[in-house]
Amino acid sequence: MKVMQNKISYKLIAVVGSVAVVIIGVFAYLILNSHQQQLIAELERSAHQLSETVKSSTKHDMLLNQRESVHRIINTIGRQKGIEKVRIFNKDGEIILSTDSLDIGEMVDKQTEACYACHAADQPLEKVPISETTRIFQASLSSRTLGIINPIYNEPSCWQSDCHAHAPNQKVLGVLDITMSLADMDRGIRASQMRLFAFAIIAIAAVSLMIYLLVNRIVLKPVSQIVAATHHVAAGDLNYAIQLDKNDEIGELAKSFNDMTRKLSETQTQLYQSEKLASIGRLAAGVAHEINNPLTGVLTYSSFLLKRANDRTEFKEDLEVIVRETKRCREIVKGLLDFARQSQPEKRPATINDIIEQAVRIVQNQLMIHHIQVKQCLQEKVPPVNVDVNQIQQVLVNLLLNAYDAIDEKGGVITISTEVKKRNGAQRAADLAAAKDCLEIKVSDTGAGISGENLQKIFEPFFTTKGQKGTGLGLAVVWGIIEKHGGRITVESEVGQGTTFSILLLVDEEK
Amino acid sequence: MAQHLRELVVWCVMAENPKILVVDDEPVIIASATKTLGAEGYAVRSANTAESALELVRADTPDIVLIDLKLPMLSGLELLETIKKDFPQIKAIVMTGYTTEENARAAIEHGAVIFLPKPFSFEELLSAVERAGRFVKEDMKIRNP
Repeated sequence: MKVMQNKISYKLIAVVGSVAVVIIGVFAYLILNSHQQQLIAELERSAHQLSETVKSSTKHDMLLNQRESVHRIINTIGRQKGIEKVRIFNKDGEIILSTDSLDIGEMVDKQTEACYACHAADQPLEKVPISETTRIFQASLSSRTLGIINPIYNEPSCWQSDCHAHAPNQKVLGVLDITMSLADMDRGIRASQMRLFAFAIIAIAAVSLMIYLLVNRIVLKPVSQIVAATHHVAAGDLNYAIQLDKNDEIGELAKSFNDMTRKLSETQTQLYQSEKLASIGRLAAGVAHEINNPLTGVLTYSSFLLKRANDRTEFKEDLEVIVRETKRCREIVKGLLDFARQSQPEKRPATINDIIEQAVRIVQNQLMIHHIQVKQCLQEKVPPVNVDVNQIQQVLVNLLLNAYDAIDEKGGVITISTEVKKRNGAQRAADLAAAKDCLEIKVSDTGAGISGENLQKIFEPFFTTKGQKGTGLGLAVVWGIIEKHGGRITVESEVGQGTTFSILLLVDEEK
Repeated sequence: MAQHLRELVVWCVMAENPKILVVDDEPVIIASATKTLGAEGYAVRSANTAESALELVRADTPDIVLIDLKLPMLSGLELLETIKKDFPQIKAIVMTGYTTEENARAAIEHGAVIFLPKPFSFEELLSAVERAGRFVKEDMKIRNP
């Protein structure tokens, strides 16, 4: 069981967990990526703006060739947070101005990051699109850097100024290069990554826990109940029912399981009873025949002796006992043979109410003497049933006499009722009358009742609570007759309240 | 004169108890029937098979036969049939330990006058034999009015 529990939860959690990991992973990647792109675009825009600002604010000093002043301006700007360097190269790649004074006078390799955009081809580009002017590169191990170049083009004011530093045919005078640190942005992105990762872990853990609890509640517990029930049934306890009040598929399964065991139990009881009746019948027939001959010897000799012992009272009394008890043996054997000989019913359509009235008439006298009232609650116009009238009458007389025996001297009431049970669709499909109408005959008494322990045995041959008065075959015969009619007899009883026998007979459909 | 003689014969026959043959393969039935009926003044003979019973019937015809339905070779009913064919005047009592309506009906149909279910008491046996005896006497009256 434990292994199975683990398996289902594990599988579900594994499947849902991996789906969650993939979804959250892709989602996180897309979000982070777009977030980063946005940040970079923002940064590029501000870098571009900055570089334009530097260019325009230094333009005047450049025209006047006041390098000190230009240097002061770029130094001031370069001290702002996030700006690494602001440099200006001339056309040959010599750094003429820089926030880092060590760079001044250095030559820049045209293959470096800053120059590559224009100098990739043999002939350097004169115009580059704005998007090409920025580049991101790993300046050191810990942080990335965004660089932006801004070419300074020759204008009429440049070659017409007093210094005459530039020739008019020159296109590009130099390049303004600004590098900005991406460390802050990278830190922010890393923090976002960590947050998303933590969120993913928590989400997956929460989903797994929920799946586990849900599976446990909805599937595993009921399943373990059903498995336990199968063990009970396998061990032979067919009366075991699963106590499960659920409307889902598992509840359905439990219901059909209960139905199955109930039907199995009924079939088994029926089969068991039939087998028992049949074998007892065979045994009874064999024994009865064999025992009747010796019994004849005993009875003939003892009654003969009794007749001759007229004047000898000391023998007479003993002989009377022998004769009486031998006759009792004879009655028992007779009962056994009657039971063994239950013949096949000779069925013909009959009205059950008539049979009931006949049966009541037979025992009426006996009942009235003992202050027992018989109530008949017979449904009018019951459909005819196909039965052996004599056998059904025997059943009813037996039940009435049993009721009579259950009622003490103070008297009581015996109620006989009939009722047509209409077919009831699928709900009753499990019952005897699968899809047929049937007739229910109930015989109730207000007698002593039967204890639960005895209730299970009352249809068994030779079970009796009447001591020497009964052979214990009456209800076994009743059971056999009803079974041969394809019907069913059940009993309900409460000690001190009374007993009700219910007989279900199929209504003859052709009529 | 002839009338007087006839009356005398009837009286003599009636005064004599009927002769009885008991046919059963159970020694205890033969023994008890022989002893108790003998004590009542009946002349009782016995046979334990149908074949020996037929020999006895042919040798000295009894008035009443008691036949058990279940006999080893020839069955009780077959014996009854044979006897009734050859000796229709014999009154037959059929005994059986296997009492059913069908058995009783078959016995009567084969010509038995009384069906006697086992186990029976001495009184029941005697009563059956006496009733059969009355049939015998009635027959005699009819044959010799």
